[in-house]
Amino acid sequence: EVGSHVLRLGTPLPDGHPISQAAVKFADLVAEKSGGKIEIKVYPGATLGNELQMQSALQGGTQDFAIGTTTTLAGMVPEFSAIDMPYRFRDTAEADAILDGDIGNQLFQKLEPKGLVGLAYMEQGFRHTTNSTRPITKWEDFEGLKIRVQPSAMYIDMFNQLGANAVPMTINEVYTAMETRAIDGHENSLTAIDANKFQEVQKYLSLTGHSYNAVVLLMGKPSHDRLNEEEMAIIREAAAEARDFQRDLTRTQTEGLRAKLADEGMEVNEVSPEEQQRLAERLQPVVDASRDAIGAEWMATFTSALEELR
Amino acid sequence: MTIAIFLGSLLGSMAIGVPIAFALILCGVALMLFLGMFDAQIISQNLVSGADSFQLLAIPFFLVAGEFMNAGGLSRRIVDLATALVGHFRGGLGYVAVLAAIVMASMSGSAVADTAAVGAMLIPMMRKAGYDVSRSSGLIAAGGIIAPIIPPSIPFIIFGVAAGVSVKKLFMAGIAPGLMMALLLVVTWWLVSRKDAVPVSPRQPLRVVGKRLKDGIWALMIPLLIIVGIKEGIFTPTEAGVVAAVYSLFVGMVVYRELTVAQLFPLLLAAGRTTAVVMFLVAAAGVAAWLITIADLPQLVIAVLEPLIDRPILLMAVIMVLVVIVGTAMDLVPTILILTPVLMPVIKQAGIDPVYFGVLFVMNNAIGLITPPVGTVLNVICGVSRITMDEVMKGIWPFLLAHLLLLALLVLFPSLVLVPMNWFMGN
Amino acid sequence: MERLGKLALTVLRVFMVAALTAMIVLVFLNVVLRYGFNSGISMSEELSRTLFVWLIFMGAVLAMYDHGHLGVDSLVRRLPRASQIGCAILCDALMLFCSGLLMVGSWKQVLINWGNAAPVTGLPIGLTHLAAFVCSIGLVIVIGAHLWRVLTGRAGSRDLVQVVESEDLAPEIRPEAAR
Ligand code: NA
Ligand code: NA
Repeated sequence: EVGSHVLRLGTPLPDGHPISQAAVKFADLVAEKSGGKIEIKVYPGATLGNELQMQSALQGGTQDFAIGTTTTLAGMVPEFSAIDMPYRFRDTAEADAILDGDIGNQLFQKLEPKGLVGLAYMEQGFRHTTNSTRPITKWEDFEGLKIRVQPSAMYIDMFNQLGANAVPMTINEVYTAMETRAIDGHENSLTAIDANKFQEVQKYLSLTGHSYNAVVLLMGKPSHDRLNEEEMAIIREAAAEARDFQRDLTRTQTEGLRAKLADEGMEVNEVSPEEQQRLAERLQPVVDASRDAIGAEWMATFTSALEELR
Repeated sequence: MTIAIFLGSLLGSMAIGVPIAFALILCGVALMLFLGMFDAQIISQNLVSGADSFQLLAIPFFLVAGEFMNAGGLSRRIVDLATALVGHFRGGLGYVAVLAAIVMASMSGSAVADTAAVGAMLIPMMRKAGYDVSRSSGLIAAGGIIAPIIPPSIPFIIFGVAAGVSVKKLFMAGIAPGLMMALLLVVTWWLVSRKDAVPVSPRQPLRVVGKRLKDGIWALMIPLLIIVGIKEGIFTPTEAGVVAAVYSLFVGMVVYRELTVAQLFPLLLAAGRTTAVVMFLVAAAGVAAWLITIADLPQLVIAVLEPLIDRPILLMAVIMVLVVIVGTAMDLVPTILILTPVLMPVIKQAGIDPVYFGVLFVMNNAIGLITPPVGTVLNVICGVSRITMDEVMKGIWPFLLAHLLLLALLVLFPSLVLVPMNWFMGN
Repeated sequence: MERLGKLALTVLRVFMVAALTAMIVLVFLNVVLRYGFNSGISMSEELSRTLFVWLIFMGAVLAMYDHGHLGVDSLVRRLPRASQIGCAILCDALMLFCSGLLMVGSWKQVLINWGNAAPVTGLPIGLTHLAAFVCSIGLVIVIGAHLWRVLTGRAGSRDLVQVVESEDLAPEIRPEAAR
């Protein structure tokens, strides 16, 4: 028996970003599958709060769904940081296999005691570097650059290790900081660069691909417990479909974005596989330190799953 | 119905004397009950996230800077310098008041503090020289409200964060309109005071002007530090605040030697207290704003204003008249906090530049500080000049009209704001 | 009891000055390090934000105590004393209700966020929510004491209206003090 519900879903990114589009798609799918009985209202652009705020609203039951990065979730379940360690996945196919498989499931199970239910992994994509000083073709080029990173200890360590000055900053202050040259650059996915219009204030885009970012469609445990099994089945089914939609959309968009960002005045450069290898080697100490932080056992599980795949 | 609940709970509790911060929380509670989603966590969560912002850290920093500037003798030297420069013209102390207001405005972000500082120094001088005290008080009050328009500005910071608009852009956009306000005050003062029989004071010898300039240059560095620092991207607005605070501490203690270590505790406490009062209000507005979003209140307002959406100038005019009315009874910061989440979606829908809107909105609210019956700057100038509200009103109306005239001009010709803004932003 | 109250006020004031000083030092050092030494204190932002939240919530209690919160007093001041007392009781009741909600809500949030580490410093995020909880306790005490004074008829005319119309009106420039 499917009852009538009005639920709220918040995203941290603006209207029109693939993540926000996927949120709308998810809401449409749920409405369709429930015959209009379950209505999900979508609030994009952090109108309900930033990622951390939405996360605790889910836990407290005052919001029902949110889409958030695994980087933020790592504050609660450190094991999530295994995903965005530097140069972990070679391509998106690897990421899909790991996240949709046993590893992804195990991570979701670790969320449950914290009051969160993971519904699906969507993606932000591979992260690259922009700045207004010089193209980055090798790790030495990072020397002395002030680079905004996600507020995360691991990202700070990564960029300091490369010789940059890592500046953690919340995303809504980044544009002004670039404009005022308070920072030289930042690292992000192509879709996020475009959504925030950073091409207006950054000259160089270097495809460093230093890490892969997944985002999770989350549900609060209190909201989950208010729905019956039949309703949850609809939610899960819609989540899986929205995930596929989101990944397709992100990947199609990402392909077009290189050209679009170049058209809009950015100087785009590749980083050769050899130099990416050197970057990975340079960043090994960060991987080692993070391994200690999240537990060698979990790292081993993760790595062996990845190797099995290859 | 939603609008009725929103206004009823907010205004009703404010009328019986509930602090506005609590009235905003009660308004949130009323909306929660109406929406059938009562949960105490919604209050605490949004209260905390409304306060937890690095951009808003600029507020305590600029407040500290203001305390140090007044106690460290920086403000006094600005007035001294202005007197040496323009005091000898006919009606000269009036021009001194406007010049001091401009410079003080570019050092501090608060209208009340500037009015009190300039008034306390100039009113006794003007009274002694035989100026009409009502009119002089009116001029100083009308000059005091330039403070939130020329950067730094606490209202711009609050509006910027609430509306998601770049604080830097707001700061750069405020410079020209702030100077226009001052220019109109000068013209108005000339018109109303030219027939007064006030003795003209002698021109200061160049030696005195030179000495006051040398003395005041340390204080004059602050506007330069803030405006150039932010424009050239040396600091973010928050960092500019901290640099201004540390710099004025240095000048007050080391250069002018008027600020003592013993004064630091009370000054910091005063700044901290004001921060807490303003920010608790900002935080409480976060609760109301969240529920305003959930209750789709902006959509209701858009529906009401629908016929005006494709006539931006008319829409602006209607909103500005509304804000003038609200401003007669409400203080600046609460009005900004209450109206921003309601109006911003309308502004975006109508395609009005949010920075342009922010400048006019804040200017309008600043004018509200000198409109009766409730006007904080009026209260302050009454206290400083020791005259009644009626007497101030008698002297202030030409200047009030000048500000309203400028506001109307800016509504009709947005480029008066946008062209200089783009120039200051460097594009 | 009175001495305990005075001590609490002193502690609050010292805490506020200390927090504000620490915020200034952290952010200023970060600017100096960035330009002078091309480095920075990466936890500067998170730490100063946490201190900021504590400063706000502790200051809110202090402002409640000395009737410094912003409000509209023009209507209440015109009422006869009996009605003023009625308004004061209603105000206190409503504010106690808000503070109670804040207490319940913030405690839940403290528990939820205690196991949640801030990204850079690693400090529990619940620490920020704890400020709201401590604030709610302070508010209940201050408002409760005020209500008690009103109910027992010991509240003077200045004590009945609990708001001022501008945040900048420090006691020395408040108009009533200047007149
Ligand atoms: Na100013
Ligand atoms: Na007014």
